Amino acid sequence: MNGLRHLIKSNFSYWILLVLFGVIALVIGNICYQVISKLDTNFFLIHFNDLLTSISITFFNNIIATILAVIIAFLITNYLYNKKSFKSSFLIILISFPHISYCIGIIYLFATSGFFARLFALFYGNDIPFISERGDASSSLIYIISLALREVPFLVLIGLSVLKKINALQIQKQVLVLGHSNLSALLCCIFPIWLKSMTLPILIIVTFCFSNYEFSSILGPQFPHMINVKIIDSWYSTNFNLARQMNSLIIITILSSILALITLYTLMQILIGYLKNQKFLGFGNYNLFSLGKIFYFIVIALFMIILFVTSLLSISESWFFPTIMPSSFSLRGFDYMVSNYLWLFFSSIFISSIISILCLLFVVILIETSKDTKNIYKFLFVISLMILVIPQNIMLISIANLMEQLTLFSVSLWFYFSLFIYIVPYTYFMLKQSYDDLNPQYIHSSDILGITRFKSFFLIKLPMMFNDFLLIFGVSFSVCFYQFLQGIIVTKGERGLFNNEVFILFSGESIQTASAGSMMNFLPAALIFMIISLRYRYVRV
Amino acid sequence: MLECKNLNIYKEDIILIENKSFIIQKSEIYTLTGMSGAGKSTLLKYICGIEQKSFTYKGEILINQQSVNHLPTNQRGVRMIFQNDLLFPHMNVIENLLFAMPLKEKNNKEEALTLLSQLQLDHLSYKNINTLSGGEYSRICLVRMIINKPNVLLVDEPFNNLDKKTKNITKDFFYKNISEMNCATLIVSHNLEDIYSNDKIIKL
Amino acid sequence: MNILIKLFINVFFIYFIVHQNLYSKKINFHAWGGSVVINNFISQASQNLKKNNIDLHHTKITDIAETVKILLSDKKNNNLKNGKIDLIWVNGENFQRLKKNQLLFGPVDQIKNYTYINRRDASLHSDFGEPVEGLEVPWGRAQFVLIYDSQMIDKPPQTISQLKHFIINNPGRFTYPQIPNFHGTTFLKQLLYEMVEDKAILQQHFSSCLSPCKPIAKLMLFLQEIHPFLWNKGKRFPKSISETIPMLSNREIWLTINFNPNAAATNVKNGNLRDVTRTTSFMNGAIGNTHYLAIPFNSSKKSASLQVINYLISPQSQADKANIEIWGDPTVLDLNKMSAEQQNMFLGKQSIHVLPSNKFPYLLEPHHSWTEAIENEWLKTFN
Repeated sequence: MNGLRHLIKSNFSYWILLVLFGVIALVIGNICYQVISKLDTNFFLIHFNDLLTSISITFFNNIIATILAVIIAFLITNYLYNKKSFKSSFLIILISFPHISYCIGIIYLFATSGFFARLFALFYGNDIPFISERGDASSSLIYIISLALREVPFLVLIGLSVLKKINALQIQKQVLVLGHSNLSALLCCIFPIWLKSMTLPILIIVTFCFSNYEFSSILGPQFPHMINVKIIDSWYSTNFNLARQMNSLIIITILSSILALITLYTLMQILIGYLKNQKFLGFGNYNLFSLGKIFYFIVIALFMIILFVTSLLSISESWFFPTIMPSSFSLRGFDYMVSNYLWLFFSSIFISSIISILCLLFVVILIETSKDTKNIYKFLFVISLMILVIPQNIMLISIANLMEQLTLFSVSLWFYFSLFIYIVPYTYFMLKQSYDDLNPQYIHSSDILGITRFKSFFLIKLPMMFNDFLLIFGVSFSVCFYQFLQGIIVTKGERGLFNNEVFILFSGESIQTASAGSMMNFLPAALIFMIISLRYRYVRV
Repeated sequence: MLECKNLNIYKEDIILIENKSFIIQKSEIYTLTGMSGAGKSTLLKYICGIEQKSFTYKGEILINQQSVNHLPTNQRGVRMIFQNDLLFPHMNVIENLLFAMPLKEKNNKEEALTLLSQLQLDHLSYKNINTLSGGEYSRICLVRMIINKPNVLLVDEPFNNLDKKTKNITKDFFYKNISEMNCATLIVSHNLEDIYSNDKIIKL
Repeated sequence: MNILIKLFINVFFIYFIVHQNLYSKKINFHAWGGSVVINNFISQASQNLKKNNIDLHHTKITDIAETVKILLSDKKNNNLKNGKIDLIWVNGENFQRLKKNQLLFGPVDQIKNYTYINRRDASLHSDFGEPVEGLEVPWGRAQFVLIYDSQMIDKPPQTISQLKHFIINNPGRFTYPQIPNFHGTTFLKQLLYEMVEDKAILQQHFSSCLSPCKPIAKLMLFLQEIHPFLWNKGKRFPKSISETIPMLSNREIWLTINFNPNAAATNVKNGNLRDVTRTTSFMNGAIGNTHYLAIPFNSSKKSASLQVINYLISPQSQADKANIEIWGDPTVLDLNKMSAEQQNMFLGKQSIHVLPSNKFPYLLEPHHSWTEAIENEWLKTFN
C-alpha cells in the first residue's frame, strides 16, 4: 500500500501516458517522414489524376454511409427509447458480429447468383443467373447501405444512453407544452441535442469507414476499388510503380479522412443551426416511430439472414444456383477448422482476454493513481483520438516500418503492442462514460468518512461499476479478437489471431471452410455478451 | 378560462384526488396547495395532457367551455412551466424565445428583444443557456411563456431551488408579469409564503 | 495467492523449456494458406516428417511478398544467422527479388531426390526467365488452363479468336482476375503469346521491345474490344481465381481461367464445382511455370530444411501431391528416371475433369520484366 501511495504522490500517470504518447507520436511521425521524404511530387500529381475516381468513390461513399447510419440510428433510437420494455443487450450481440462474416453475408445476399437472386428465380423460373451488369451507382449503393447498417447497432446503443442522459422525454414534454408538435420536438430539439452529444461516436464511425479494409476488400469484385485496398495491394506488390504509389495513397487517405471529418462537422453545425430555427406546426403528432420500427426490423432481419446464410454455407455441400437450400450437408468445414486451428482459436481467446484486461487495468490505474483526473482524461482523449484518426492500415504500416528500423523488441511484442493500442480508445471512452455515470455523491461521502482512495475504489467503485467493467471487457475483447491486419502487416504472417486464418481462407476456394471459420469466430464474443446480458439486463455504454 | 369537472385520480387503487371541481376565469391567479405527494404535479400534468403510467384518471377538463380531454398536449392551448423547466441547451436565450413564438413572422426577433429589454433582461439576450444563473434561468422560463401568449398557464413550484434573495426577486418578477398576462393561471406551491392571493386557493 | 503466482510462473517456464527442446528441429515453412487442400497436404507431410524428428510448421501467409519483406529487413538489420524462416514456397517476381538481394541459401540442388528431376528440362530451371542457379528446388508445375461448364458451352474456345467469338456471343459470362493479381497477369501474358508472331521476343528483357511496344499496344486494343462483353461489363474484376470458382459453379460465368490442370477435378470432388465442369487450354500452347521451394539465407536450420525439401520431392510425396484426391498438383519429377513400381504411383485414377496431359504444348513464362510492363499499361488504361 505504501508503494501505491507513493505512486499517487509522484506523477506516475503522467509519465506513463507521456511514454505512450511519445511512442504513438513516433509512429505517426515516422510514417509522415517516410511518406514526405519519398514523395515524388510529379509522380503524385500524375497518379492523383489516375486515382481520382477511386478517391471520389471512397470519399463520397464513406461520407454518405456515415450520414445514413446516423439518420437510421436516430430513428431506431427514438423508437426504442419510447418502447416500454427493451433489452439493449440484444444490440450488443449484433455489434459483436464479425465484420468479415458480415461482408461475406452481404456478397452472398446481393450477388447475381446470391440468395435474393435465388429467391427471385424461385418465382421467375430461371435456372441460370442473369448477366451481372452492375454499374458503379448500384454497387456503391449496396456498399453504402451495408456499411451504414453495419454501424447502426453501435450508434443505437450509444444513442440510447445519450437520449437517457439528455432526458429526451422531458424535452419532448417541454416542447409540447409550448404548443409545438411531436415532430417539432424530435427534429428541432431532440435530434440536434442528440447529434451534438454523438460527435465522438460519429467520429469513430467516420474513421472506421476510412480505415476499414474488410469491407472494401471482401466486397471487392462486386464493388468499386477503394483506396484502402489499393494501399494494401501496393504494400504487397513487387511492382516498383505500385510501391511508389503507396506514398501518394497514404497522403490521400489521411487528407480525405480529415476532409471528411471537417465536412461532416460543418454539415452537422449547419443542420443544427437550420433545424433549431424551424417549426413543424402543420404535421400533427407524427412521431416517426413507424419509420424507426421499419428500420429496426430491417437491421435485425439483415443480420439474421446473414447469420442464417453463413451457417448454411458452413455446412452445405454443393449449393449451386438456383437451389434455395443446399441438398446435402456435412460438417467437413468445422472438422477442418477444429483439427487445424483449435489451438490457435483458444490461444486467440486467451491473448484477446489478457490484452483487454491489461488495457482496462492500465486505464483504471492511470485514473486512480492520478491527482488530477481531468488532465488524465484529456491526455487519454488526445491519445485515443490520435489512434483513431490515422487509418488503421497506415498506422500499422508505420509500426511495421518502425519495427524494422529499431529492431529493439521481438515481433511478438510489437504484435501485442499494435493490438493493445487499438483497444485503448474503446476502453477509455467507455470507462470515462461509466465514471461519469457514477454518482459523485458516493465518492464524496466516502472521502468525508476518511476512507482512502484505494479502499474507496475496491469497496465502492468496483462493486458499483462491476457490470460496466464486464461490458467494457466484452467490447474490447470482441474488438481485439476481430483484428487481423496486425497479423498481415506487422508480423507478416508470423503471428496472428484466429481471424487472420479466417481471412486467409476467404481468399481460397472453399467457402464452406471459411464460413465454418467465421461461425466459430462469432462464438466467443456472442457467448461473452450473452453472459453479460444475463447479469445486466439494461446495458449502458 | 379553465374548468375542471369531477376530477378523480387514482394511483394503483389509492385515491389521490376525489371529485375535485374548480373554475379559473381569465386573468385570475389561483394557487394549488397540498401536502407533498398529494398529487399536485400529477393534476397539472393531467390538465396538460401528459398522462403518467400507473395513474388512472377520470373527469372532464374544459378550456374556454370546450372539452379538451381527447386533444393532444400541443393542441389544448394549455401551457406549463415545469418544476425543473428546461431551456433547450442547443439554442441561446433569444433562440429559445423565438422557438416559443407560435408563428414564424419577420418581426418575431424584434418583439422578443423588446420584451427582454422591457423586463430589463436584455443583457442576457445572446447568452448561452449553460451560463445562466438559477434566478436568470427561471425568469427566462417565464419570459418564454409570456411570449407564447397562452390562454391557460400552469406553473409547478417555480421558486423551489432558489435561495431566499433570488427567490424574492424572482417571485416579484413572476407575479408582476403573470398578472399582466391576462390568462387563467394555476400555480402549485407547498409553501404558504408563496401564495399570491389568500382568497384564491385550491387545497388538495 | 503467492503460491498460485509461483506455480503459474513455474508452469510457464517449464512449458517454455519443454517447448524449446521438444521441437529443436522446428522448421518454419512460409506458404500461402488460403487453400484447404494444400493446407491438408502440408499438414499430412508434417505428420510423415515427425518420424525424422522434424516438426514442419506451416505458417499460413496471405502473400509470399510478406515473407520477402521480412527477409529484406533481416538483411538490412544484419540478422544473418538467426532468421526465423526456414523454408519458403516461391516463384516469379518474388524469386527474382530474393535472388537479386541475395536472400537465398544455395545451392540446394545437391539433395538425394534431385536425381529424379531432369536437369536438362529448361522449364524447371528458368523461373520467369530468371535462371534458377540452384537457389530453389522445383516442387510443382502449373499450366494455364480454361475451366468451363460443358452444359453451357459445347465447344470451348481454344484460340484467341475463338475466345473473342465466345465472349462477344455470350456477354457477361467470362472474366479474369484484377491486375496486378498474379493469375490475371498470366492470362494477359497468354494472350500476348497468341498475338506476337516472334515468340522469342517474350524471352528477352522487355526493353528489347521498342517503345511504343507494339505487342502490348495490340493487347490493350484487344482488351478494350472485349471488356464491354465481360462480367459486369469489364468494370469490375474478381480479386483472384479462387473467387471465380463459386461464380462458375453458380453459372454466373461459364468460362474461367485457372493455373492448375487438375483444379477442376479437385473442386468437383470437394463439391465446389458441378460435375459437368471440364478443362481445356489454348491449342497453340499454354504458359506453364514451376513453383519452387527455397531456403532463406539466414535460416538457422538449413540441414533440416534440406531434409524437408528432399522429402517433398520424393516420388511418394510427389505422387500424393499429384493425386487429385489429395491436392492434384502435377509432379516435377521425370517418370523415366523412376522404377516401374514408382511410376505406378503416378498412374492413379484418370479423371474427365482434368486437362489431357501433353495435348497442349508447354510455353515458357515470358521474362519477368514483361510482367511489370503489362501491369503498368493495364493499370494506366483500365484503372
